[in-house]
Amino acid sequence: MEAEDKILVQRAKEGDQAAFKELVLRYQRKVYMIVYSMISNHQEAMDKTQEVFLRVHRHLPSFEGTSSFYTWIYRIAVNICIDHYRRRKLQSYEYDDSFKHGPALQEEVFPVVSSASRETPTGRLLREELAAKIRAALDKLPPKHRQVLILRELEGLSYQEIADVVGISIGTVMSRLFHARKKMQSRLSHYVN
Amino acid sequence: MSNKVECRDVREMLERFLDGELSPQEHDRVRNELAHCQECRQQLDRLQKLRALIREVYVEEVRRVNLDAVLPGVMTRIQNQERGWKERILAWLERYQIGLVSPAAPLGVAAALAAAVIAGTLIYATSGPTEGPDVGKARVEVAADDPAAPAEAESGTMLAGAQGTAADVLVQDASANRRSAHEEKPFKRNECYVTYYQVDSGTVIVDVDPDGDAPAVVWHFEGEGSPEPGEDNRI
Repeated sequence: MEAEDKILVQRAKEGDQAAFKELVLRYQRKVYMIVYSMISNHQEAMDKTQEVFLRVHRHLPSFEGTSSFYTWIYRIAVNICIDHYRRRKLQSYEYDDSFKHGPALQEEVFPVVSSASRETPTGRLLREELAAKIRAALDKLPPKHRQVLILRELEGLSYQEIADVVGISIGTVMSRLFHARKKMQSRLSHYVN
Repeated sequence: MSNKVECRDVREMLERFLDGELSPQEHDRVRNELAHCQECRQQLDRLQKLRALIREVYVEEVRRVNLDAVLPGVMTRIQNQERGWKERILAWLERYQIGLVSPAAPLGVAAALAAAVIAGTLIYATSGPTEGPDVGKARVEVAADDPAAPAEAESGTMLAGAQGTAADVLVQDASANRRSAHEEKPFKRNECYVTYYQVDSGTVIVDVDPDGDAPAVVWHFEGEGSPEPGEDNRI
């Protein structure tokens, strides 16, 4: 994976548009997952996902490859989400609750590939209810706790990689993970105990 | 055999055990304790369940999301950035079929610059004679501390108008008169958004993104041909 990334990155740096497109296709779902899990809104997550790749495209010529490409792209995604938080805080932006806590998979607002049809209505309801509770619990975490938890639990990054992406020490990663998990366990005690 | 001290020490290592962040010696120590201590096993089980729940929700959700629009969107935005400001503004006007219905008197340069300071960026204002109900002339002043702008901002450049506007666009370098809080924070991004457009006065204020993120977008569109609030206002 990393070796293929290196080749694609080198080709993209040389102006090969096909290589850049391949990098987008390769990472779009991972980037979207990070962004969506941090900002909990599909439309905004789609926009921010595109913005991540815009930044990648813009800064690719200066990417020296001292870190892996995926670490670099995750760092960009996390920074864009942090910018988003800051701006939202400044604007006292009110989230639409139906987006934040409602069933995000309503197909009219969240276009999906048709796999939902294989699920029973009851199963789907239960899953959506659980998903809403988990999203709500995650949304309540402070952004700095949420981001390390997401990078660890969803992306499987090592402590060192998380430290590199977020720009903090490994000790801080461990501390934030500990607090994030503790809060999540407490809020989801019904499901984890 | 488990004891309280060993149990407490191992509990503190359970997260790193789960995350694969222990040394081989620590790993063996935890495994040994887990074999004897039910409470430690229960705590590990809770951590594993939490991970599984988060993954189930997000991985499953995201797996089902249609991301077909990402790549075309990225390529369009890259293409837009390479087009330069004036083409992008005209394309934006065309996209929303904004006709300059009632071009007002020319907006004074001082007022324009004052508005630029408030908005931090660009001004699009009607000026010149009216040639019909949907016709007007336009002036675009480009803040030159945007590195992308000067190359496009050749003073006096006249362009063919966007469809429906027949607008002549005059691009001027407003840097000499520019005073704003952004001076110490030069624009580095090639993104801009329309934040204000008023048909009556023929003014569009465009916010160039100083931080690489969407600026506070204020919709005050009035009159015929204005886009709906909530529509993509990106140029």
